[in-house]
Amino acid sequence: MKHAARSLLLMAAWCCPCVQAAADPSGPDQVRVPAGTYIPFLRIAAGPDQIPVRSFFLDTSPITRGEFLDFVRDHPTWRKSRIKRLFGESSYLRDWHDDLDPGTGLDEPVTYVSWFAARAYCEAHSKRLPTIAEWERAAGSDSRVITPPPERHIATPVGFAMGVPAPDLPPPRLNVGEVWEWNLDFNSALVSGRASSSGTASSLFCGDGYRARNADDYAAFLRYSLRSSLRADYALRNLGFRCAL
Amino acid sequence: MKRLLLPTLSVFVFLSLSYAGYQSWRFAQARAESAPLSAVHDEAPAALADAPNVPPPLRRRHAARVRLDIEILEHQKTLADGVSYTYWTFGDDAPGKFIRVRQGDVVETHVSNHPDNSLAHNVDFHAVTGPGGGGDVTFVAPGHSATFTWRALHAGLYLYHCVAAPAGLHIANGMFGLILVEPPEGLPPVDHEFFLVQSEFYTTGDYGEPGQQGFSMKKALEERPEYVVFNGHVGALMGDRSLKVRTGESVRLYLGNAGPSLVSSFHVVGEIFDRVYGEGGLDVTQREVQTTLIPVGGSAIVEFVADVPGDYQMVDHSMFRAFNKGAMGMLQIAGPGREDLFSAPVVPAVYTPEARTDRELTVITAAADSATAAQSGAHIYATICATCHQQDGRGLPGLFPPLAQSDFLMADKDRSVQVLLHGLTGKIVVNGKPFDGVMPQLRLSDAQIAAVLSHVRSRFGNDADPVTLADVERVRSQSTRAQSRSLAATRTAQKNPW
Repeated sequence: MKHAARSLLLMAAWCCPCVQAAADPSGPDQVRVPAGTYIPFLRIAAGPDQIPVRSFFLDTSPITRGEFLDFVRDHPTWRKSRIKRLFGESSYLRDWHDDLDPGTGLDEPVTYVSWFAARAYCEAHSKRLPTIAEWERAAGSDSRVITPPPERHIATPVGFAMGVPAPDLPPPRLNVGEVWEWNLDFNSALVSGRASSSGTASSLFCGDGYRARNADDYAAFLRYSLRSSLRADYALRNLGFRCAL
Repeated sequence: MKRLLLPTLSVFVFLSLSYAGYQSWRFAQARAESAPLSAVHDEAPAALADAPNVPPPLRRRHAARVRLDIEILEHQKTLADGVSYTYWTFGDDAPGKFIRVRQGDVVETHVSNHPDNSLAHNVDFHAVTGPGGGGDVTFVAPGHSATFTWRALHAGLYLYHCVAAPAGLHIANGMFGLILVEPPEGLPPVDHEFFLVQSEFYTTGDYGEPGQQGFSMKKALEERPEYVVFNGHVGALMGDRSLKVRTGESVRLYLGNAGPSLVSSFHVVGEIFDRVYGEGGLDVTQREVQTTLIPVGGSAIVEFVADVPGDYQMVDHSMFRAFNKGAMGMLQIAGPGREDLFSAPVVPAVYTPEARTDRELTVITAAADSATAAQSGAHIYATICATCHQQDGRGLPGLFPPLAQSDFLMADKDRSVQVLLHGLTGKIVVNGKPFDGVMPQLRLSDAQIAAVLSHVRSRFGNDADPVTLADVERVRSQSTRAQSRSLAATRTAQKNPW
């Protein structure tokens, strides 16, 4: 009887390869984000109104200090003392005691990382950084309806603006809202369609409000505003990342 | 004909020379302004002051290079008693420091976004002639700083504020301040200068709801703030922090309105502005003004002389903002009375057409603890005290302390007499709740004080022994300062048809 049951199970697995393909290829730490649509927050004259986003996998949580420690152990060029200034400013891993000593909080999101380092981490794991379209599709839900828990609100006053999972995501739960996160194309969203004096719209001001999709989605404003203030070598106290696939 | 020629000629020559002189002065000015910013070498420290103070006049005869450092912070602050809010500020508090420079100065501005902050910020100075008022070039991520240099071309009083998106949110969270660009000759000297910026807070909770409050975008869109305040906090200019001047002194107020939504109708109750510099320009646009507008994103300057001693409320005359949302400050004028300008028995007379008022007066002064006196106590309470403490004696939360079962009132009989004799200003705690207001000196007669206190001590759930005329007289005589008032009060009582 026992034997028969096992055969049945095996047969079921063999019969339904589709189920296996849809499963998470890299363990329980990723969520499969279904295909969807991203409506750019800022309208660009020549740009599309909607951008289709294909199904992809996204880490459920930001990369931790412990995980980043493993990475710099294997990739010495990304250590605190070795990184080229071009790829990470002086505050890179500022809260680490030493190259291989992050101190406490190994389970907390790693911050003080540059875009270059974040990208290198994801590539080393055969992944990549999520694009703005992907990130906003998965975690940029309109947060006007969200009431942040009070304790979180005090700890990080803009926690809810840092991300809220889209309502249509399957389990496991996407863990967002603790830190800002790098996107692959973080600096592309605000390049203006029209020429400005510097050639790029490096800022997002009230003047841009008329281009906003939802001028009252202030959480989105804050995310886009923060992204547009960044340079790829910046390393900030509350800016981390996660990978996509 | 000849007699006329010489004077005419000399007038002509004088005018020509004057005009030539003016032109060369203009040319020199223009040349100075077209010289590179780096050509201004004389360095001068930035003149800064925390609210409500204003740095002293510069008295500098030349333009200079001024280094201005502004640090941006995101931190918890107290919005009102028991209410906390995450402020975003230029420097330690909202409003940011008052900045004073001279027309023609070259201002080297360094804007630093603290590394512990969560958001990108910037500064737009309305005093700047240039794109974004500096907003584009000062837009910085947390942990970074930006620099730009500008020439203060135009004299006047200007707002500065953060304009990072969404700009209204950054302003509503406290990112604003004032900068004065003095004309070369300065402003006419006055005895006191203060500044005040009106702004709004859109909290998730209702006005006064305790605890940490979030930001409500819905209320912001509806332009329906819970708080409208002067200098960033409810009570920032009340109690100990009232503006204090003496009679005969001249006062100049620099007024700003950061909004982000509501225009201010600025008024000082009981004071008339001698001069108003409309919208913060440097021409006196109007004299003898009761209420002046401060546009959102703009300013105004008012001047007056403190003539009559007393407490003067400064308000946005949209009155529900003043009395229910926090838009109130206090100006205290100290000094000898000016009976030639203002003289009044402070106790309003009760107008009761049927009553034989002369008999009533006799009864009150004769026996403070009689039933008739208690009735008079009720009368005094209803007509004077209830305005603030309410008919049921429960007061108004946060504004007027309760008398009903009040520990403060009951703890000390003599103290309660003193409050009625002299008034009471400043912080007190009543039944565990803090209050910080002004109880005016009422100048009731001793008999009236005994009557109304006895009334209060036996009503509203209170059950204590009455206050006798002897009690009041004893407390009054204990204070030498009070003795002169005793005379005045007796006089008042006599004049009073009570």
